[in-house]
Amino acid sequence: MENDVLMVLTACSVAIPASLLGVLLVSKSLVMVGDAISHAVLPGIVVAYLLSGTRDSGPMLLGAAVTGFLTTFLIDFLKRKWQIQEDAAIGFTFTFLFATGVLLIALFAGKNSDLDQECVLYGDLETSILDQVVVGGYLYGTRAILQLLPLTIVLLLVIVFGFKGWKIWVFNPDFGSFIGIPVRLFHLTLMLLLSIHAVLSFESVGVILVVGLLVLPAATALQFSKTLSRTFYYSACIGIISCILGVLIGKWINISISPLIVCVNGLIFLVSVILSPFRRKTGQEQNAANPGFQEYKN
Amino acid sequence: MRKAIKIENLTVFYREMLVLDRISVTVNAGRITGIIGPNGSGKSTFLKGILGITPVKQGQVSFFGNSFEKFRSKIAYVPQRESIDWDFPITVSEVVEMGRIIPKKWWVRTTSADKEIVKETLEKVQLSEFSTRQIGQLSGGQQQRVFLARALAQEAELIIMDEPFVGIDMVSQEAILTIVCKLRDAGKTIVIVHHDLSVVARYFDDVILLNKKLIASGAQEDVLKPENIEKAYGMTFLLDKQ
Repeated sequence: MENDVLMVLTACSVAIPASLLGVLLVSKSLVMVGDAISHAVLPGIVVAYLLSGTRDSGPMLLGAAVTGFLTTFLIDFLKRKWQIQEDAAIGFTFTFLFATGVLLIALFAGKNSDLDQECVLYGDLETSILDQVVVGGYLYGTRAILQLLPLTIVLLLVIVFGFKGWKIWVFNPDFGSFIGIPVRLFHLTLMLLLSIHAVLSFESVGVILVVGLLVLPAATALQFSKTLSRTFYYSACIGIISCILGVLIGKWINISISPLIVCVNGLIFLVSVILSPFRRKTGQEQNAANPGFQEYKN
Repeated sequence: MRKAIKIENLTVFYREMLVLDRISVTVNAGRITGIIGPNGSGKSTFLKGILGITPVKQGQVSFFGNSFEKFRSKIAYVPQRESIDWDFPITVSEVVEMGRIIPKKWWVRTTSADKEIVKETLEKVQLSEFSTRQIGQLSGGQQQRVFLARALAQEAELIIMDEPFVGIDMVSQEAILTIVCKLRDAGKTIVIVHHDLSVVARYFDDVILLNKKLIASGAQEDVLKPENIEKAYGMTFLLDKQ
């Protein structure tokens, strides 16, 4: 029982910040960039591990921040300077960096080390809860929880204090840069937080499944809410619910939990699309479908 | 007549392509100025260039004798439809509230005085009953009025609108033009980018005719002469119209 609770809490500690970051990613159509960053931090993690010889979070975070920025910079550079289309630039950047990371593990990290490809790719929630922090006989939580909690707090502060700015950054960045809001800073902040999240969560859910936690709760929430604050709130709730369901079902049929959480999220998303009050379309489709229609109706 | 915007030698490149070639022109204060030209003539780029949204190769722009930085807070910009994400979860009053943001202090909370202004401006554009609707649920014309309301909430001296009449019905077009004329009569300067000549003749006071280069500028009746229009739009346009 205690393990189950610990497992839910660990999963939630990954899912909550992911679902909050996801709201910004999905509504800004940056899902691909989110995907890219969560993969591209791999070489950063490996190099940090090789240099420091430990899996302590300090060097790892530094590695992630560097590769996260490198990814953002490379995508931007290819797009603007070399005028490569955006999806190709993203595709190149993250596969290249990710592959470099995989090679680095194969070449240097060795079979007996803490870091193997399996762990990085798929993560392992079940083993990650064994990494517990016990001080003076008291269990304070798993390492993942204690690492992701500060990130979640920082993220919440960033969202709350920057709320107006985030709204403009997503909805109408031209207006933002026009009135003199540092929209670029918002972009970089999101990318930095995303890189840190990717590093702190890869042990529990792996770099592939973390994308599901970024995208799905947010995409679901967007089907139902008409304000940004509610979207954040719904998204976090969906993240938490999926973690609880994932752990319960996983225990029941004895199956790996992190893919299950993503599957549950996927199903919730599908149901939400069917039930959505808006059936979100793009504005152009909407207006092409009924030009001026509402004008007369109202 | 006071000069609202003075533009000298504005040149803009997109990638390797020359989009705007050494444009020097002035916009008069307290008038409605239409920036007109065919599709791809660089009208929007011209706006974005003078507003510092698009990088310019060379050129000087001043607003009422000030630099853009100094005058920025008194300019309102109504963007083109395509640049907006209409699915974004934001309500009509939230969009108008953006107009009350103090750029250097964007983290400050909205005051009740700001909320009052938002309410008033929504009344002015006749959208009070839609204030809690998600922006995408409005018709094209109503959406355009929301952005006009945001410009009003900014209490700007200079209002710049990028293609406000694309994809909207006649009723909304009239409604927007009525508001714009009222603003002009209250002493504001309005610049509207527009791609055809239909509405122009009736409402715009001045016209800047563009097609990569400056074709003509000045009072509407002086600029919209057949020879200028032909230069900007080419022969086919004239033949179509006749």
